Amino acid sequence: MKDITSVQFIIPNKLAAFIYKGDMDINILNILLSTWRSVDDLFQFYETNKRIIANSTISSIFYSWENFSEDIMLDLEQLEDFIDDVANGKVNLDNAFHPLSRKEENVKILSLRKHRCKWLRIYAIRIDENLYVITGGAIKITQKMQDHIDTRYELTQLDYSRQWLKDQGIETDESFYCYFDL
Amino acid sequence: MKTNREKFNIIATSTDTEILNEIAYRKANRDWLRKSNRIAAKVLAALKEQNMSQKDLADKMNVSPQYVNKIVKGNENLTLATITKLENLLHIIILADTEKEIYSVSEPLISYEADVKEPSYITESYYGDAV
Repeated sequence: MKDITSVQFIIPNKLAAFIYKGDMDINILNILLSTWRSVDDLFQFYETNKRIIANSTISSIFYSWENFSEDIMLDLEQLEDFIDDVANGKVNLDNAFHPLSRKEENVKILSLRKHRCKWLRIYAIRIDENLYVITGGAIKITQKMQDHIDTRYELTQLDYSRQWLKDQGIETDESFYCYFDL
Repeated sequence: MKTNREKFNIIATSTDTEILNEIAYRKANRDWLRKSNRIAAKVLAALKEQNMSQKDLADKMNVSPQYVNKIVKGNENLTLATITKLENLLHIIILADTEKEIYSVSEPLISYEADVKEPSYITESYYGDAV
């Protein structure tokens, strides 16, 4: 778990992200985007997790590194479009972020409607109407967040961040929120 | 009493302008960035298959390891010369037209003097049943 040093707006009065200790004053959304834009970093992740990734997809035998890389690229483009739409006032964040729930944990990761896997997740806490702060994000490759070290870490970070906000006098609701919920 | 929004606006004191600028750039350049991303994925797969490091590839290409690292990040606007070098050194096809070029040079599919028939790759469905 990383200590929070400050909060930075991405889009004033709508979307913000935490800056954590040791991250050289770069907010967590900026760090996530840089990591996910690096094919080299994704390849290391794929190599470490390829068995889990294969088990997460219906057509596991045919799901290759190239498929994974392509799906992440499309997820990333969708995420970039989403941030751009928020900046241009086209999206209300209350309609885009969904509470983390059993629903998220029980569905198959493969999105049948889109005919492709959707891997990227952004985690956030709702501060007020149409105002969220991003705590982190992950490539979600297991159905339950508790089942992978990365998403388990994100749950801890969400808990810690909510407590930090509480210490600043900001009481939030009980839910944590996720973008790219299914 | 202050609302959550008002309290939050006090602690969030700065704005990151870099993210939106970068997104605008990436959206404007999405077509070639996708290609660069796919090339990086192919190069990384080939390096692993051939048990080569990025440093090995840099030596063979006569470029710096930092440049190869840029290539495999998938955000580099590569020249045709670099792409061709990668194809030759890693024995992979990046530009699909390369194959056609080989056939057209060594085995012409169409004789201009005889009755011109469409080559099989045009008359038959190239992608089979794929939709």
